[in-house]
Amino acid sequence: MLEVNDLHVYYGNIHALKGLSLHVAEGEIVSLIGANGAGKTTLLTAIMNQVPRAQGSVSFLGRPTAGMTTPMIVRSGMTMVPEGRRIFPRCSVLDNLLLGAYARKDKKSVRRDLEDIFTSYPRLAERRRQIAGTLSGGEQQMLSISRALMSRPRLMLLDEPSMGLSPIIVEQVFATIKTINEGGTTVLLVEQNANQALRVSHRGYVMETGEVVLEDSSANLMQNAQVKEAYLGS
Amino acid sequence: MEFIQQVINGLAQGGIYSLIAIGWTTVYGVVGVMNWTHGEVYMLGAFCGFFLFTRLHLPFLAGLLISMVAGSLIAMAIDQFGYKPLRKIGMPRMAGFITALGLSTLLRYSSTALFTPDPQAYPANLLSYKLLTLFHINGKAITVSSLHLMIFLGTLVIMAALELFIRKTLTGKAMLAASQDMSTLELMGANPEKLIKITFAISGALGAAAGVFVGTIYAINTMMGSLAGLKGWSVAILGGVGNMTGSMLGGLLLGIAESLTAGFVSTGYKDAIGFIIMILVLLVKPTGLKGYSAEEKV
Repeated sequence: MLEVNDLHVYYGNIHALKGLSLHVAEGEIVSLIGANGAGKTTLLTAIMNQVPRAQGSVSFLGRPTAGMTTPMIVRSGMTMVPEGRRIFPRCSVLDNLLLGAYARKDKKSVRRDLEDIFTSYPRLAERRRQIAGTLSGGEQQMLSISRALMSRPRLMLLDEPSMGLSPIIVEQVFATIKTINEGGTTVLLVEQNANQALRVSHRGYVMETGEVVLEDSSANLMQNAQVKEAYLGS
Repeated sequence: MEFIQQVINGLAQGGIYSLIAIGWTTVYGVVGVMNWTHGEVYMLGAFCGFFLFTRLHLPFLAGLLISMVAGSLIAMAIDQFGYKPLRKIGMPRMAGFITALGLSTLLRYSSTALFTPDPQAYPANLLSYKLLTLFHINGKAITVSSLHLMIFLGTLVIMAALELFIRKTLTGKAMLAASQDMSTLELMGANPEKLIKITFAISGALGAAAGVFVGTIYAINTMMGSLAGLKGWSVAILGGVGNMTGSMLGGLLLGIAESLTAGFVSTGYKDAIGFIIMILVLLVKPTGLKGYSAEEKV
């Protein structure tokens, strides 16, 4: 579904991605783990064409995305839940969700998806008229993920969805990701919380300073001595 | 009594300031550029109205609407040729500002060459002028001219329409969201360039409407955009940059303050009072009356 090949990205003189390659197949949850500064966020923003790619290719659903703008990529069925949630703090919860469906024309099914989200996350339904900036961190993360769902993506990229959340909420967020995947959405999950990420995902990549250094099934990665030592804290 | 009379006198001018300020603040919010050409769009709107009323003898409403459309087109053209090329190279902040100043000067002086620097007046019979008695206080009549009343109501109708557009339509909501976080809005599939064009169109229409309203009260000239633009910006700051409601309130407040100053102090200080208020408000509340906590746009 998603193919990244030999991707290079520079920030000025910093070589942030050094020929990174990975792939995500339909129906998978793939996690990408790595320390702060490994280039995980850079990779996602480069896939969404929000930062210029210096070299290499990205293709989605078999079509190269070079030359597509971010909105075009979103319209083709891929979306991203950005790092730090990035909800629109001065818009209502409802408006945040409606904006998630901005590119969709089918008003009726947008309504239906909205109702589905409110049924699945009653907290958001209760607070639909509330200004989104007043939600708790966990609620904001749920809103951010739900907003991304409103574009009906076939592939969802998530950037550090567990960041800054309490352990109980983190559990909920990962459970939600699993549910979303079971509903037919493919997921590429970027996380520092390697333990949780590997537990929900099928396969995983380990990233260090702009490169993939390990790639395996999540079950194997969790048993890998190197990964245990560096990322699982055991 | 005199006080209430002056407050009422200031409302029409205040509504006009509100329109100018909203035009400033929407563009700053969505595009992040201090659009100094806004005063020029206001001036060109006033002149557009002038030609429509004196040459084509159009009725007021038709002239107002056509001038608003012209204002939209001018503002969109300014963006297309002035700011869009800068956005393509990442819009260096200072470059945007200098471009804005340059364009403003260019428009002001080419208009002067084209229309002459002489003041021009709208036809006297364009809108009816009758003194209406609103109510009596202690036997003294509080009055308002039908002209000022119509202008004030006109500005309110335009502001209400805009508010409705922003709150009720998806495009309006997207504009509001764009002023908070454009790059995230892109992740919803929204095309920033399209939203920016719509924003300039709205800003231009509001600026031109303000120009036409002013033309019905005062003589117009090609330099009028300079002070009005500056006042519009200070109202936007006074209200809290990026906040429409703040700009509405700020504009009315400035109109009333100017009217009170003219009535009780001296007309000479009228133009200074706005800037004095702005400086005082910023000292006490740096984010403006209805401002959001400082978030630097990147």
